[in-house]
Amino acid sequence: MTIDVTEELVARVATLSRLELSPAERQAMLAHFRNVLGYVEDLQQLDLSDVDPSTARPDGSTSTRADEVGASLTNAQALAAAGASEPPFFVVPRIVSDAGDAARS
Amino acid sequence: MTTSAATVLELRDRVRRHETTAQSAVADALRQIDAVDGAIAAVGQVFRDEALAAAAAIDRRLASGDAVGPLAGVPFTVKENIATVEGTTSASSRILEQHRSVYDATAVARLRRAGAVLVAKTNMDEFGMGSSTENSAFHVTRNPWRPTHVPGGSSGGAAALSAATRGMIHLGSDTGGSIRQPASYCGVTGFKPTYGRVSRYGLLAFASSLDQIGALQQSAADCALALGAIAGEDAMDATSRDAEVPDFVALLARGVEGLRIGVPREFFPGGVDAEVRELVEVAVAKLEGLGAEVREVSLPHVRYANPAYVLVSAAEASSNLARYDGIHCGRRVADPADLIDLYARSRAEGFGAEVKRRILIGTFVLSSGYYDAFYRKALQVRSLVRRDFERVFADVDAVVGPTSPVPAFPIGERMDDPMKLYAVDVLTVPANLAGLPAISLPCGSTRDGLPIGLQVHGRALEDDVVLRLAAAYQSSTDHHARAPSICAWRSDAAAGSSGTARGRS
Repeated sequence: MTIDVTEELVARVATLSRLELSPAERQAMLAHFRNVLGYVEDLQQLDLSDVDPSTARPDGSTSTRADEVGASLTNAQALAAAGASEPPFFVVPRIVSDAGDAARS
Repeated sequence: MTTSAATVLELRDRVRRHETTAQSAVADALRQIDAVDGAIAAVGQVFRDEALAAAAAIDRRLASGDAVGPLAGVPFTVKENIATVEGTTSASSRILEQHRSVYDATAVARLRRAGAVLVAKTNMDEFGMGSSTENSAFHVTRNPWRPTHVPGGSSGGAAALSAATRGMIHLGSDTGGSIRQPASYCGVTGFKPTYGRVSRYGLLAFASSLDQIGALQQSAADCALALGAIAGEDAMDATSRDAEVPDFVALLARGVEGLRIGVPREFFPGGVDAEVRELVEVAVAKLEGLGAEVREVSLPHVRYANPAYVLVSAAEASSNLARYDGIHCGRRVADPADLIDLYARSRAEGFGAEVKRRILIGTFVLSSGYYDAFYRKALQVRSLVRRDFERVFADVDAVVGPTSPVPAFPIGERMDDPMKLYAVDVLTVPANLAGLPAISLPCGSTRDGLPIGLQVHGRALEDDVVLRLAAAYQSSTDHHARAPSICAWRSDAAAGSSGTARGRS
């Protein structure tokens, strides 16, 4: 698969990543994308048609435990590391417009 | 009697026999850190008062005859990405610079339960992303053998401190070689256990299917001691293994007689430095002389391991690090325009350049239209690497080769080209992709005095075999006992085995 690495592609990935990039960072990432895609080019030559992808454990399993209520963080502990909080809530910028509020009320 | 210059096993026994106290052991550890850290900058935080208080409590229990744990009074350090209730748990990142954990990682809790005492946290490449500890947001750690050179990474702080001090357990983490490669560069023994042997609860995730906690010590015996304390299933980590935790130290005595060792030609590609190759070949001959049977094997897909690792680890990193959003924990910009602006600028200000690179590559390979061509393909290659090892392990008990293709390099030499830094992981990532236990142990040094590491891999859950091989090698060589000249504890008598010795035994 040949990828045309453009500034638009890097900008789109930065948006998906929720990362603001400076113009200089975007230029550096262009070069880095090209280098990495060149480095992994060999993988494209392999015939993998009968190979399943691996997960963390070779048998794909994970341990399970009884579904029981146990000790957990208190609300105060959960909020302790937040940059802004009004207990018992995390504070985020407003995400509903006045018009939306009015329509709902 | 001073406690320093002791192995952890010796120190543990001295405390048990009341020949020294927990307070003396901890005070000595703090003194050693104070003496060396100005030169190597290995440590991020020291918990002086808390450690001395914990040691005093252990001494009171010892004095009154109360039960104490098997590691009573042994000082320990953890990498900055392992959660502790003391201090901050920053993963050496600006985004978590002020982050305080409200819980201990399981590995930390188990060491404390065994009576060990946390004394410090060690510097690292931000979130484990790097091979030189130059990617720490806070400071660059220096190699104690040559302070102009890197200590390796990402557990570079733990490796440098382990080389320059004695009588402490040092926990690091290994996602693509982050315990073994710095152990190799600093002349210490670094063990990555089987994936799932040690709970990852409280280890700030980089790539969850690859990450594993282990120890960086003077010897394989001390790695075995540490592993015994931290291993075992944990309800807080669904990938931890329900496997028996044997007495790893007791199993070391079995030696290597009759063990079959495979040497894969693919572990000696063109990029391996001639001196590395020569010293590893001498070490393999030594193992043969100790009674192991050596044969050549082939792992044909190992050459694809690093490209697959670059994609898999970046994909998992982009997913894991999405949690640092400026809301739940970590850095938050002031006066965001809206929610998206809060996310994008908090993350832009908080993450360093290498972390951004990996998040972006990872997001790309997981995005619509590219998933099958890159991420899925990398996971298929991971299966091929695993199959290679499974096939070889039908005929041999261990696979050996170099840990890193090159010795420690000068600070700054590879920072302008991330691909050059990725290249030094080429021999360590296969063990992570396959989930296998692997150790790096010193096997000599270059003509200009830089340590070289021999790497030993074993079958999944046969951590004891890997440790046995390493311990047998160390019982008949002294590479692991040599120490750099900056060591605070180093007496004139010990100085005979100097950092410039070639050590070709």
